[in-house]
Amino acid sequence: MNDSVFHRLYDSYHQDVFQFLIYLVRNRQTAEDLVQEVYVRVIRAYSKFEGKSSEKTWLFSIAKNVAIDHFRKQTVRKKRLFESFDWETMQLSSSDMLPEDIVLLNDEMKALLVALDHCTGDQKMVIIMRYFQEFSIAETAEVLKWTEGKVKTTQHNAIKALRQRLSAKEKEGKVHHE
Amino acid sequence: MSERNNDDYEIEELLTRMPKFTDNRSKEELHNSVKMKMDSRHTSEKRKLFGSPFSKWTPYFVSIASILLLTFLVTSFLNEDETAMENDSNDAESVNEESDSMKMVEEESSEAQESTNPYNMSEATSVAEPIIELLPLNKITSVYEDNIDGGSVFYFSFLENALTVPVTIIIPITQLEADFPNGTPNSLEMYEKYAPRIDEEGLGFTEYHPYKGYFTADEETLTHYLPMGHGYDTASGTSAPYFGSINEIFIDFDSLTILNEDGSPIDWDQVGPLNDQIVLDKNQGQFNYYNYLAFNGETYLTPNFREKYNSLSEALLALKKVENDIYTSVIPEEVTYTYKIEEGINVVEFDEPLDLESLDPFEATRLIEAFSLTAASFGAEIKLENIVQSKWDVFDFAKVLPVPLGPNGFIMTLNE
Repeated sequence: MNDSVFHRLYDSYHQDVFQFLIYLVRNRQTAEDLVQEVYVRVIRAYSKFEGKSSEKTWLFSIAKNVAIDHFRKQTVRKKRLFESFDWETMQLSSSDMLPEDIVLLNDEMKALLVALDHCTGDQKMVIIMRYFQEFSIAETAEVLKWTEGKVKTTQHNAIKALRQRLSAKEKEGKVHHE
Repeated sequence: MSERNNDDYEIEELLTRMPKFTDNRSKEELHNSVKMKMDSRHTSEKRKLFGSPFSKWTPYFVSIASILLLTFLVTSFLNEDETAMENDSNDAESVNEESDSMKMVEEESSEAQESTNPYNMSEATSVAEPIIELLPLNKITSVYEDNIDGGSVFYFSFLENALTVPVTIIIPITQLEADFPNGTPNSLEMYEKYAPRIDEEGLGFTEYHPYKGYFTADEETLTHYLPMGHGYDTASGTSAPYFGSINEIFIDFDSLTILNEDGSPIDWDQVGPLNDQIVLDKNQGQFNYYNYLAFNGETYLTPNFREKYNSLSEALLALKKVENDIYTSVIPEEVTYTYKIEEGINVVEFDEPLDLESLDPFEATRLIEAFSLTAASFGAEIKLENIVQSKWDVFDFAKVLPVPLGPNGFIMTLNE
């Protein structure tokens, strides 16, 4: 195992990668397992890293693939075999968060996370990268291997989807109060 | 600013205020976990590639002293480069573990007795025969004549998401002789013998085989008798994998006739009566090959929705074009090439020297094999030029590429 690669990547990006994964899967234990898998893949593939993209976007593209594999496997386990698994169009439904993580969220944030779960996979990825990870449009495009235009369009659609979902929930809440 | 934009702004502002979650484990703890995971995977892969097949086959070797099979296994597995053992998928572990627990069936020859009607599906499935374990050969690459070593290949087709994945399963010579003492079987006989015993779900695919109804074979024509309510014609999502898999499995029949179970002409939903025989591909469907990432995490080489091309030239040049999210090109975006025929040989020349070392080893192998599989689908051979390396694994670029017998190779073992 290439220890120096591990230490350097850990020092530079570990918490960012972890945050990316925990927001995607919304389960601390799963995020911990997946981040380990990210390091395994990265260390194995590091000799092939050519520097054509930045180390950061390369690392996150591997993290993205690890997360997609996780959702794929979940789909297999749930035996939804006749359903297509196209991460860009499907929802990447997540598990519940641990209570100690939930306390960090106010009601507005909780509602936002629920709404995010109803977005398609591509929208969820873009929101997490652009807002939670503060990736630039170019970096997001590089990780997802998309054009910058596609990132912008997806981000626009994601915000729209979140707005619609949150407004609907708000109206629902008002009706209940009445 | 409109109200709508205000809402958007508020959402964006909220998104940027979301809390940061941190991994509370120490760096050392994580380092150890990663190290252990890598070590255990490495050991597991080695066990799979070296230990398990030998331990399973040893009693068989002893009982029949099959030097040929031993040679085959040694050459198949020892030729693997250490790096080729690496695989991104977690699933490799579970497959390894399953294979570790397998027991070799020592007296498989006793099962050589055939069903009174070998083509009857229901009878075939009712026979309690051991499950067949399929070990990916050379980490999912194509099968070549040199790999067979006197055995044979059984073409099979996995299904998921209404898509078929053609696979090529090597039956070692001893197994073949035990199962078919009267001579080389055709594709239907192999299907009848093996398909009901393949654990498709265990490999991450949909449990689809054996087909409903039963088959008969008349020289070059295969006839499938289907019961009422078979469901293969329910929608394009059921018809396509039915016809796709039939073509991928029964490679030695010219045509297929589909009838009702009583022998009367069948009505195919949304098509009408199927009066004509359906011409089969016979392994030359004029396809090209792409990466398909299956639910099980493995990447396979398959045609793109079984799209056919009029010429090899067209198929080769289309290898870079994929207009869907299911399949991806084996060729990196920046790599370009031209196709020409030189002294009667099909040649693909890369515009810039292609350094295979710059690719993941499996990606490089799949790139090469996508060209040879595409050529083979037209009954042709192909040569690749302007590659930095003169050789890559079994490929010598000074020569035409070896013609693959089929994609996605597995070796058959038996599990009780």
